[in-house]
Amino acid sequence: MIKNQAYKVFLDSLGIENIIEWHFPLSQHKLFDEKTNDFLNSLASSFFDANDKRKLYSQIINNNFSENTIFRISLLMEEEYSKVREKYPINKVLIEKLVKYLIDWILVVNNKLTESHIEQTLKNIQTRNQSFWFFFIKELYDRGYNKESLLIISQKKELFKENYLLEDVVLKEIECIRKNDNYLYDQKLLNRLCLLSKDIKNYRYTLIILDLECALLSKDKDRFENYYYQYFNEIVDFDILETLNIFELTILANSEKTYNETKVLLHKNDIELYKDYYEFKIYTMLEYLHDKTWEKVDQLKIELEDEYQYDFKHIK
Amino acid sequence: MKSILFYSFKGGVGRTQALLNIAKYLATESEEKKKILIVDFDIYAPGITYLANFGKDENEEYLISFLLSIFSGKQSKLYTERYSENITIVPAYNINVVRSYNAKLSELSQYLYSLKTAADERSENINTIADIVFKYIIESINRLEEKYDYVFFDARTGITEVSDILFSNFLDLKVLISSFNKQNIQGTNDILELLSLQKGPKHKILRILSPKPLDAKRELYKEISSQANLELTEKERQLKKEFDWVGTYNISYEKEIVTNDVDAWEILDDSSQYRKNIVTIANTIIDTFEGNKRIEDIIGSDENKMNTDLDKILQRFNND
Repeated sequence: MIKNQAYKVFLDSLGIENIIEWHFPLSQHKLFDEKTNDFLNSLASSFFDANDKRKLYSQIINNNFSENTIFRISLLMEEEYSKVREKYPINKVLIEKLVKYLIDWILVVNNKLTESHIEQTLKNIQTRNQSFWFFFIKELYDRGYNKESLLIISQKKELFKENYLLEDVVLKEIECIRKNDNYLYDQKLLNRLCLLSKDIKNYRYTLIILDLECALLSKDKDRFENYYYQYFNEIVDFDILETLNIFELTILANSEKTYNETKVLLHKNDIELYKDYYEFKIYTMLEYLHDKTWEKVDQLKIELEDEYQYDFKHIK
Repeated sequence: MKSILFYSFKGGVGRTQALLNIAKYLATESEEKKKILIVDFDIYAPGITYLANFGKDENEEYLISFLLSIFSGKQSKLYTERYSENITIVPAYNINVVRSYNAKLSELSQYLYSLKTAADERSENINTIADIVFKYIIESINRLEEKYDYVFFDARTGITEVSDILFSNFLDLKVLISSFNKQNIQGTNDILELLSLQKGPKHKILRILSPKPLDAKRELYKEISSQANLELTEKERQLKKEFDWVGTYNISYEKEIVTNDVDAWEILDDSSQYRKNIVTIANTIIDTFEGNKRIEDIIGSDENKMNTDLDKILQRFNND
């Protein structure tokens, strides 16, 4: 368990329990004596930023610090725990920062972050604090570690039952699945994705797109059109890019009715005003897609690459 | 000295109050007291300016006169007035002389069109006239006798010529404040889209949602908060990558702030959510620009000590 008393008191004050020693990302940790290991454990969870941690870590593993310096840094780390409480008097902000610094540490020590680091994290950190795990998922997602984020979601989602954060976790789950280049060809992932809409209530755009996308993928045109008209009053308020996303789905679903409705919406939203911009190029590309003019679709896809990273996963 | 813009697409979001209270915290309560200069760039509807007592001389170089001097190619020195021990302000103009203030605004307007078109060139040009004006203002502040840690610019709302000066990529941090409604969020996201098109160093952005109703149901504000943090749609997520994103923070509604605007900070106790929000944002600003100096000090002193130890060993070796 944690030996550093100041750190333990700090975590208790945040409602984070059951964090055990954090030395696991150190592949070389057995090479150090107990004192150094304790110091590294404290450093891992200290409120020092990635640059400071990197600097200190490289000095300590090269034995460049005197005992006195290690002592002074240890004192500074302990002081920081009480100081950050004054600087950031909101628990959620502190937990978010704590998580960020823990993830920084994995990267400082390993220069990379993999699923195996996350497995170790899940083994070593047993807290049931929802904010802690929510920020862990969010931070990994923000840094582009989608697979790793999904791994935590799979194991910790049950903590969020009946919690207002559940749909935020689900939102990240949806985005992480969609970031996987092959999700449309992975039946397991698709099944997982399409079960998620029941947990989304407030993120209306995500919910509407997800329901339409899943109806499209199950090749159920009636269900697609039912959803479309069920959500129509909300779709009319979408901005131009959101409407273009709906437009693409209507074309892929071969639903002439909803295609025409959406086309009217695009013109009501003055799609012509976007003539010199990527929005109009997307619109033109989708019209070619509707007309099955593949050559033109491919040409515009190439042109669009530099201007806007449009998600072409549905358009092969 | 770091330059920080406080901007809101629409008014009434507590921007000037947030700026003033962050300045007060940094100047009087932070671990190292900071010296702050506040420039009232909200020249058509000044707020900070009302804190000034003004000198007797109408011809002082208040901000508007100072800008006029720049445009007419004359050297001039900014008028500053001490507000408290560590806070100094630059008023927009002597608003007590309202006819003169109005005349100066008219005089200034003739230059603003060219400033607007210059700022529009930022998508092509890294150093437009608008950026040169901004840099000149910073140089002028650096030439003042007193040295400041931070200069806060309280900017005009909307897309205007005066706020364009401060949209320079060379400004160190942009604090964008909007309230919890779609109009506000969308307007600010549009401003971000325009900023993303500019050439030059990445803009550092800190986003604030204010004021958050105290009894707010979290569910009601989820979508708005996600939109503000640019994480809801693919377009938003792509836009976010164009910036150095410091974070998105809330400021809660506080009755005292609304009813007692200038002195409210002094009467808020530690339990006030508004106060906690301001302290968090102020320290985030410090942490954004200032690393942990004490680590540097310890490492530095250790290196010095090691050098001295090495000298001693070498000396002993030579003596032997």
